Amino acid sequence: MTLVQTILSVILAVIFISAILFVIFGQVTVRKLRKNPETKQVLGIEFASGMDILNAAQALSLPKAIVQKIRANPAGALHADPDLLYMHTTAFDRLLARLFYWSWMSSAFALIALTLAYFLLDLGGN
Amino acid sequence: MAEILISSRTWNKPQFKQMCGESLDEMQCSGSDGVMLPYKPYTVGQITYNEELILRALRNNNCPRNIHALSSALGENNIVGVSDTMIKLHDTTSALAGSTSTVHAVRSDKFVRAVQRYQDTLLTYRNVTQGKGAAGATKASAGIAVSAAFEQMQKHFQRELSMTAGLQRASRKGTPLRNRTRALNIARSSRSIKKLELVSTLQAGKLARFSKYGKALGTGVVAIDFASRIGNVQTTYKADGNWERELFVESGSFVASVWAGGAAAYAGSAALTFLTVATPVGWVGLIVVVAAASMGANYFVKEESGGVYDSIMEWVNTL
Repeated sequence: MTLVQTILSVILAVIFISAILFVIFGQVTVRKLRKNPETKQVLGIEFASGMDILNAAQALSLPKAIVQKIRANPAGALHADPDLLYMHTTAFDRLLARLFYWSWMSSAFALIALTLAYFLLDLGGN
Repeated sequence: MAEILISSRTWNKPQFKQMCGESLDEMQCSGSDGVMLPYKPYTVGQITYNEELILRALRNNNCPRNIHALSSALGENNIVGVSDTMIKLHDTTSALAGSTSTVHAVRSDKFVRAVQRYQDTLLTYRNVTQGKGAAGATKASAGIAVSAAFEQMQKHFQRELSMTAGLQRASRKGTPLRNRTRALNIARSSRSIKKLELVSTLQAGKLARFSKYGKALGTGVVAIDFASRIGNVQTTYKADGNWERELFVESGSFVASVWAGGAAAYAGSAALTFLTVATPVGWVGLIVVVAAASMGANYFVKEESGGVYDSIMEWVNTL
């Protein structure tokens, strides 16, 4: 196994774990928020089915000041409302959101970085 | 390199000798002797292992019939190049769907359909010139339909066409995608035996996939992508290849492209809010970055994850 493939296998493993967390977070937390009449309108835009899970995870994971500023932006309605979400989630929900969000972001950006290195440094030959 | 022959009619020994100058005994295709059957792939001379794999990949269902019809419209040399590009386009659309930027996906989907319409008019034209067309269709009206489809394609998809044509084997007379007269000539004069030159099983697999999905495009980007990815796995399975490995590669690269594209889109749109680039230009830039991220990840994981699968299997075997 080449070095690139070793790194890739680690990233793929993290992606796999993160995908499981995505489903758990969607079933445990976001399903609850979707049923709640106060929060079901503020989960952000859903271009594709399941995108509200990503919106909710982002609103609960980034620092509160940042997501509030994003929400105050003219295009803020695309994102979920952090204030209402914090009000209707437990500490466990937020832990789940952060575990999922950061494993998703870290594995995806590690994959993008590796892809870039692969093309720029021409690692495909070995 | 394997030379594959597909015929649209039955040939017996003397007819074949007269037509091709070679003895029919030289032809290889399992289970038939003395005659060449229509819509079955044949090779010339002693069959090698590689050729056997290629034949198997081509043999399922209606595949040879479709390949024969498509190469009648586009020319034998071009069909391999075109199928390669089309499959690449399918994979690309999926990567773009992963990035949720449907603009580009819709465009390449439309391009595929424009080429398809052009192919269909050429096939109709061919049928009419051979006296097999629908009632009331004349050579002139079929020719006009070809021209209309050609103009449409030229007008809207210059960039994609130059990309596609660049991949095909260069010919002095140009390719049917760029040159309507050449396409009409190929369609009119097409012989009943088609000769395809395939280098690898991979190429054969692409050709088989193309012929299978060539007529059923435009129902939804991800659905097509899944179908074509699963088609890839099935083709490998039919060719007695390592289909579990293929499944690992296809599903892995799909997830990777969705994953990377999604993350880039979310991080990017959050960042855009804070930067002064939240203009239409900034958003277009984001779409381009997202598309590049997910297409790159798709390609990269497709190339490398086979090796990952192999070492996982090696490790499992040592347990």
